[in-house]
Amino acid sequence: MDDTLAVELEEVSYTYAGAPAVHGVTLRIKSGDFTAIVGPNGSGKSTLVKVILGLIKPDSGSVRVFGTDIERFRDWHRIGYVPQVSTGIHAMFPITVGEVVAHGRYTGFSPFDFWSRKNGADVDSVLRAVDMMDFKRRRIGELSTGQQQRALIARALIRKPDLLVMDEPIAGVDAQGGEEVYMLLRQLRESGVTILIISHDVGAVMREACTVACINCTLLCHCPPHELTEDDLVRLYGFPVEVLHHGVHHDHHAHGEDAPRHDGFDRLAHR
Amino acid sequence: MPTAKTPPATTGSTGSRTADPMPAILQYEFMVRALIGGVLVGALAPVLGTFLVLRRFSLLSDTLAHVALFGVAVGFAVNVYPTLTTFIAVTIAAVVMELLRSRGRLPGDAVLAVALYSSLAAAVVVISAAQGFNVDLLSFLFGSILTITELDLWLLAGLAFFVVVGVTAFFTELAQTSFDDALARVSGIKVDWVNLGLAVLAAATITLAMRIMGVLLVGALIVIPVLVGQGVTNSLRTAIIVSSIVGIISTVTGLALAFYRDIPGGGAIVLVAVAMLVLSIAWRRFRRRSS
Repeated sequence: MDDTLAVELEEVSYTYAGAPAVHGVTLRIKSGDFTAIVGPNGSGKSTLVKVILGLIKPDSGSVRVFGTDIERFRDWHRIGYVPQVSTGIHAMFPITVGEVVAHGRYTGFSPFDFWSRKNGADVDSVLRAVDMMDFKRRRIGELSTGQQQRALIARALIRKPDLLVMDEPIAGVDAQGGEEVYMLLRQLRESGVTILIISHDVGAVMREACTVACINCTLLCHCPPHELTEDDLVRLYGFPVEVLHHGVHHDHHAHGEDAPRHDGFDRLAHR
Repeated sequence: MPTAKTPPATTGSTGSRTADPMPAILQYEFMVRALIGGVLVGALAPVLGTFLVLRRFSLLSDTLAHVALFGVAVGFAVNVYPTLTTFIAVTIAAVVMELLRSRGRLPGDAVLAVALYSSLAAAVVVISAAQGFNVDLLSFLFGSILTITELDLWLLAGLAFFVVVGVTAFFTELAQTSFDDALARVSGIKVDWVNLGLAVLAAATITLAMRIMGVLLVGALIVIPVLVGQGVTNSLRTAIIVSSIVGIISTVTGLALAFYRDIPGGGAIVLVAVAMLVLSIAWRRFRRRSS
């Protein structure tokens, strides 16, 4: 067991409807790292995240979170999860943004919650952080997908997690909203939170993440973004791609790396 | 109910009939029992219904009501208190359906359809093998305010206690599980246990509510007041309270209509609830246009 590891997967495989969704994945994510999982649609990214969170049980292999086997893991307050909400939340669900965020404080059975009108300063604080304070009393199902996404991010943040897992957090969010989400993630990373994110926004994750895990049923590579080659991306997406590198800046102090870092792959396209 | 409705004559010291300040509906024990039962059922059914509707599992109540018919038929066939056999049948069905649904063995709606038709078929076979339909069995089918016993009321009161304590104590767990069960699991909530508990409470509620509502209409009281509550408020807590109030108003008004207009109680209750739903939709539209 390595205490510096937030997530450890060892030869994890999962089969769905007779076809392997994830096969033989071994992945280690260090505490404090910002790791992005990228891959084409149906490549097993969301399945892998569900396995990590214990939502589905792998057919084989082991999963440890903060050194504990996920089946015996009880420190759920250390994990914040933002699911994909691209399909939206049912408009008729009578629950306000404030209530959804307050639910994020859950740490265990609390029999008098129903009678408590506590909707404290911590709710307001995280809502302000995601610029959703004006929507606190609005029904979450009536908001846009991007606003719902930000509400769920606030719900995850209120838990003050050590590990934040996000499944396509900027799906449905406009460019400015997406940039605000990444700014928030930068701040969280600076405060030591381990971040695991699934994203199709390759350019942004190359710019923001410490490491990138390329998944297409198997783990094709797991490395810092600057080590990722075009060949890796071709193997990942299955077609030749053109990657444009823009700007170089240095910000790997937290990981003791001196190598300059590319500002990102601003464009990923068919050649 | 013409014979049961004839009011007892009240005579004064002179022997002449005097006006009784108590409304006629309250002068009959069976109506008082029906009203007490109606208030309890009207308050309880939408509380559990809220969480069923939010999970898009509204038809569970209808399916369980058909299973209840099988339970009633077995009770009559083996000469055992039908509420007991019904409760056992409905609880087993609710738990099995929940297990099948949660483990993904069958899609949720397919589970409901299989349970509904198989229990209805089994009920028909049991009824046919016994004596066929009789008045008591029909009262379970369509509900009867005349047949509510003191034992039914005590059972309802006990259930009310458990539902109120259960739902308020586990409100956060129920709300989060209904909202998104994956989020709930990652928050550390034992989602499978919460779902099973809800299924058992729903089974008990349907068993007792069908004495008033009847097997065929009990699902309506679980779903319609909830839709009113969901439509008029943004908060889950308030929606539950509003739904309960709508349930109580529906049952009391419906029972009063049944008494004074001589119409079936279950039908009257559901029609009142539907009228309130229509009014709530109209009010919502009016409010949207004016805002």
